[in-house]
Amino acid sequence: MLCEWNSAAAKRYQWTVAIEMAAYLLIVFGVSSFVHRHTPAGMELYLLSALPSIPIVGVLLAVGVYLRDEKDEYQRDVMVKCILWGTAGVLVLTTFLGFLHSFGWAGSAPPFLEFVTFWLLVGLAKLFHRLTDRPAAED
Amino acid sequence: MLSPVARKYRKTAFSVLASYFVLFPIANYVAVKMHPAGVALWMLAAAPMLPIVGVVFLLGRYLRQEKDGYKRDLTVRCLLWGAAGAVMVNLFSGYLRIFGWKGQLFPFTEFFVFALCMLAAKLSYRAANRVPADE
Repeated sequence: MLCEWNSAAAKRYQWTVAIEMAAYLLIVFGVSSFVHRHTPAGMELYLLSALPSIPIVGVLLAVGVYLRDEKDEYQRDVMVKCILWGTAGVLVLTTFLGFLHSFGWAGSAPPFLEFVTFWLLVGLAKLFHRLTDRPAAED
Repeated sequence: MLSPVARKYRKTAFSVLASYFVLFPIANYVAVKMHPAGVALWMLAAAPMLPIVGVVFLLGRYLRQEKDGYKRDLTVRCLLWGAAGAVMVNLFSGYLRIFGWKGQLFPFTEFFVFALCMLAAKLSYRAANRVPADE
């Protein structure tokens, strides 16, 4: 069952993500304070902006490793479905924003909108699966 | 060799995408001529998006109906690579803006990165899984 995330692959995934998120927080605070003190520009700014992305790349890799290592096909399938819902949301949102800009919208979406939408939809899809696949009490 | 489900998906996806080439010029023409704003602009931007939503829906249906587990797995892997690419670009541009970058990415950048990563993954899987001619 999805709520019993206790396979070896799932435990490894959770640990890896926890460590990477801790690294992410440290990097974000470090880079933010550096940027506010030194106001870098050009290549330096590009490199600093890429730094917080590194732990997120790690999280995405951890998802890939989890999907490869998970023996329980059902759990793997649920994870894949949730990620696909997130992907669909990102594609729809980015296309919509693209057309808005093409047709003359001068505004700009908040930073990380697609990223937040992706994980929000993944979470919602997971929650939906958890609620709809709940076995009856006597099962 | 395409499975019947894949053939059906490809055929339907092409017809749905063809409607994009009708909807986009119309929406673009209206935008250029009338300069809509507010809700009208948002609705106009949503019109050419509909075929894209259609293709996403068809892809989901294909994944549900495809009997060949290997092909389904391969499609899912390519989609995941595409999603990783799109999310990374969004994250990078978000931090650039937060740290003071005044520019903006081209429209559809994440979408193109998604398609490019998916294509690259597909080609790499195809190259890696090539079966020798005598097998």
